Parts: sequence; C-alpha cells; structure tokens
Amino acid sequence: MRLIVRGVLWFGLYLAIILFPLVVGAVFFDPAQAAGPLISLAAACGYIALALMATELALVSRFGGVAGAFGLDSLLQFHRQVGIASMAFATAHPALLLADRAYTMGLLVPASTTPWPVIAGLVAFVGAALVVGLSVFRRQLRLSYEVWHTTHSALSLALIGFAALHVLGIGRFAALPVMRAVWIIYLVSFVGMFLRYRLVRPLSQMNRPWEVTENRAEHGQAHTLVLRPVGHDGFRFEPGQFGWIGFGHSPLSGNQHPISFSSNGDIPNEDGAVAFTIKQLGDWSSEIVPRVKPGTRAWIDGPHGVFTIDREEGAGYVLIGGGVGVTPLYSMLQALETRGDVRPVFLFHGANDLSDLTFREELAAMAERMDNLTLVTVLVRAEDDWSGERGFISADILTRYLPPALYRRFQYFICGPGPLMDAMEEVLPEIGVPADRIHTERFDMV
Amino acid sequence: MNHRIVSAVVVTIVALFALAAGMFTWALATATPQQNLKAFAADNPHPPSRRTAECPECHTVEKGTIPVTHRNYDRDSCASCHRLAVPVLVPHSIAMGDVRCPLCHGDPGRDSGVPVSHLRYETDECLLCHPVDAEHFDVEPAPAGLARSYAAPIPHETGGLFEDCTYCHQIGQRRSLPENHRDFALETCEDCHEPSDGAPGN
Repeated sequence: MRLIVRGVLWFGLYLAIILFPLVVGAVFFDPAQAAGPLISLAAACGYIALALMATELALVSRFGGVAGAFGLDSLLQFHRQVGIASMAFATAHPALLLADRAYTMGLLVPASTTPWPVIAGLVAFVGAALVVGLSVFRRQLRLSYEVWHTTHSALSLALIGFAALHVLGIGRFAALPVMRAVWIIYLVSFVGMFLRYRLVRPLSQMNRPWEVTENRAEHGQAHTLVLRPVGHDGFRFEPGQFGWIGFGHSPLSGNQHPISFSSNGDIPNEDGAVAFTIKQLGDWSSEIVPRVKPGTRAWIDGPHGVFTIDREEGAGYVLIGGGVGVTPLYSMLQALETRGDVRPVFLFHGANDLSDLTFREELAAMAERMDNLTLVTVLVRAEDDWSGERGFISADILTRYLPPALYRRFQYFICGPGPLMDAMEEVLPEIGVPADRIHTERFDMV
Repeated sequence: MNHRIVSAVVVTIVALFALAAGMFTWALATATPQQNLKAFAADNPHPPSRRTAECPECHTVEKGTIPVTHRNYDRDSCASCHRLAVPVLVPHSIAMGDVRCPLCHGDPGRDSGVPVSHLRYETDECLLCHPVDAEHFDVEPAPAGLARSYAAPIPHETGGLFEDCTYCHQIGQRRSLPENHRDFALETCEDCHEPSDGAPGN
C-alpha cells in the first residue's frame, strides 16, 4: 500500500511537471497567434518532449526522494523507457509541422537563410537521436561504459541547451512572458540538479577518500574489493544497499558504478571497511576491477537503495539470488546473523554450475551456524553426484521448501539476471505472494 | 519494483501525454476565432497567391500574423521553413473581368466552385491571386452558367408582361436571383439564358 501511495504522489507530480507548460500555453493563449491544428499539436509534442528530456536529468541525479521511493533499478528502467518515448514525441514535432502544408522540408535541411532557432531545433533533435540511439545500441556498437556515460551526459546537456534556444527563439507560446519564465525555471532547476550530481556531489567527496585494501577473486568470475576509509569514519548502511564506486585521484577523474555491498553494514570492521563484490560483466568490471591493486584510491557515493530488509517488516524473509546477484542477499544474511534475528530465512541460490556459485562456502558455513536459515542451491548444470536442486528456480522448488501456512506473509528479495527476475516476478504472484512483498533489484541496471 | 509495472506506468504516461497533446490542440482550436481557423485549413495553410517574396508586407508582429518571436528574422528567410504555395492559374480568357468570376465559380461545392475559405474575399479580388495562364489566355471559358452545366433556359415567355425581367427578378429584398448573379445587370439575362417558347415547366 505504501508503494501505491508513493507511486500516486510521484506520478501526479511528474504529470504536473510535464504538462504544466501546456496548461500555461492554453490558458495564456493569444488567438491572434492562432495556427492550424497540426501546428498546435506539433507544439504540444515539442513541449512534452523537452519537458520529458529535462526531467530525465533529474531522474538520474541520485535524488534520494525518487530513488528511495521506487529503487534505482526501477528508476533507471523508467529513465530508459521515457527517454525513448520522449524521442517519439520529439520526432512527432517536425513530422506534424511537415504534415501541415505550411512548412517545407527546409526545416530539416538548413540553408544560409534558415533562422538560427530552427537550426538550434534541428541540432537538438540530432542530439536527442544520438543520445537515445547510442544508449539503445551501446552493446552492439561496443561502446565502453565510460565513453558512453561521458558522451551521454555531454550530449544530453547540449541537446537540452539547443532545445531551449529553439523554444525561446521560435514559436507562438515562448513569446508569452509567463511561458518563458516557466521554461527558464525548468531548465535552471533540472540542469542544476544534474550539475549538482555530476560536479558538486563528487567534489563533496573530495575529503572522504577510500583505499582498496584487498582484492580477492571469488567464484563466478567475481572479485571482492575491500575498501577502508582514509581520514574519516566511513559510514554504516542498511543490508542490501549499494554504493557508487569509482577509482582515480579525484572523484571527478572516473565514472562511478553502482555496486551492492557484500559486507555487513551493521557492524563494519574495526577500520570501517566495506566490501563490494563485482562480477566480470562489462568492460569496467572485466578490465579494471580485476587489476585493482591494494592501495588504489577509491571514492564511494552512498549508501543508496531501498532493496533492504530494514525497510520491510515480515514474518520471515525469502531471498532469491542468481549468480553474483546473491551479493546484497549475503549482506542481509550477515546482518540477520549478527542481530540474532530468529525469523525464518530462506535463500534460494541459483547458478549455471558449481563454479558460478559466488560465496558458496561462506553461505554453507552460515547455514551451519544459523538454525533459522534454509539454503537451497539450484544448478542448471550439475555433476551426477550433486544432491541439491537442478534446473531453474521455479514455483515447484519454492513451494517445496517454503512453509505453506506462512510463506505469503514473508518478504521476498530477488536479485539476479533478467531471466531470473522476469521468472520470479511472474511465479511469485502465481503462488499467492502479494505484489507489495516482492522486492527486486537487477544487477545489470546500467 | 516489478519491471513490468514500470513498463505499464511508462505506457500509461505516454498515453496520457498523447491525450494531453490532443486536448491542448482542441483547446486552442476552440479558443481561435472561426475566421482564423478558415485561414489555416489543413489543405490551405495560406491564401496561395498572397505568397510573394514580400511576406513581411502582410505578415507583421503588429498585425499578429506572425509570432512575435519571428520579429528579428531576415525578411528573406520565410521560405526556409514555410512552403510557398503554387498559385492556381486561370485556364481561360479573363476578358469578362474580375467581377464575372463568381458567375461560374461563386458557389462552393459546385464544379469549379471556390473553396469555402475564399468566401471572405471580395469578388473583384480573384485576379490578384489567380492570374491567367499565359498559355490559355485566349481560351473561351466553358459555356456560361455554373460550372459545366449550361444556363437553364427561361421557363416562360419573354414578351408582354415578362418583357421587363426586373419586374419579377430582383436582387433586393425579394432576392429572386441566385446570390452569385447579384453582380450582373438584369438586361443581360438573355445573354446566357435563352428564352423558351413555352409556359413554365416546358
């Protein structure tokens, strides 16, 4: 229910922000500036596209309010899909103008006589197409995350700047003082949020450096990095949360990546150390992370995330992890163990084969120590002498281990690759688990 | 949060935004005076022959005929974005003069009739925008009458009581002539309408 209330509130605010310029345009409309219906529709699509793109900056600015309400992975999914939708509205803008016979293809082919606001609009459109295209086809284009991230940010700011010039220099509604004021406030606010995230926030970490003290290989092509705070006390975090981690001489010298903590946030080591466990999935995690040496300077922005047992009350916990997705669940288990929590806990740990089972020894030892922990390991490919479950985590496996009278009252935390997440989001409601008790986090969110 | 819920939310939002864009368009259309709407009919974004190289003669910020944001654009830049309409040329002689155009073209909806949006122009303005096609300057227009139909014969005798057309056919209060005939002198009726030799109905 809380999620629904949060959703309605943020949904309403989002709609209001995007549609407010249209309301202003309609209320303060000057009939002397009337145009045909296709031109009005084109203007509406253009305004919606720009408002969507501007708010995209805020969505990725690590705002605690929004990310705390829905989780970062959901926010990033929303960011991606809305980005594509905004491109559709941006495309409709010139298409509708051309559909109205008042305009020519000259809109898309600038000449020496073309007014600069038209050229600014065209540049903004090309920029938007690049931002969306490079994001959708990043893997096919073999673009490294670092290059893509830097390009994405720079192009996004540039396109919004050119779009602002276009809006303020052309059109019937931007001539209204109130409309100009609205757009200037929008652009200053959203670009300001983005710059705060990209510049101010990293700079504020300058006096809170971290140092890598250990880099050890784990099962499943993963590495655990242990970092200790240098000159400060570090922080505590809720089990299951994540931090943005980057390396370099300053927080601005490299891109940061969202990684779940694999250590116990309740009781940090004596030196305040925290641990991240990172699977080799992309260029950064495959090329940089395995080569990080102890003594490397690191920067952590965190903790972040709502994927944590501390925010959800339940009669027990069911943790479902795939491969390295077990990382935040391992953090939760450590917290539950040190707290002496006696509620039943079930960990369903799936992997392709035994070598993919990150933390398998640690989890087995933990299951020995914790009477209330049931560890169920599911392998897709297993040796003949494997005594655990085989195949994929399914409704059959879940219901075989979960107590029938209680499992609907448990809280479910799922972290893993897309297919596992998709399957669980379908399976759990089918066996009667209420939707508000299912919490997910996709580890390949960016 | 379930990613399918997120996708459903995005689809809902996009649908709402599309609806909002439609409502915005509708709101502006209803707030626009009807006369303005005529000028912006989808297939007639502009009275065609008013398109000249001197757009700013008519299109000014002061008259409200261009957005004020265009005030600083070069005078030559209009065609960079805006389509120049191809004027419709008159494919026959215009020896009859402007005022005779409505005789054939006065009724919208008839063959070769003017568009509804042209009704706001004066009848002697036609040739301002529709010059004669040089290749057809000497072509006789189609037989007089509306469009391609011949003028109806006079359905009564023309002598005696009927000798003076104006006795019955007036363009004043009684309006016994079609609207598009108002510019023609009544003594010219028989130039087009041949008298019949029978009683009404023949």
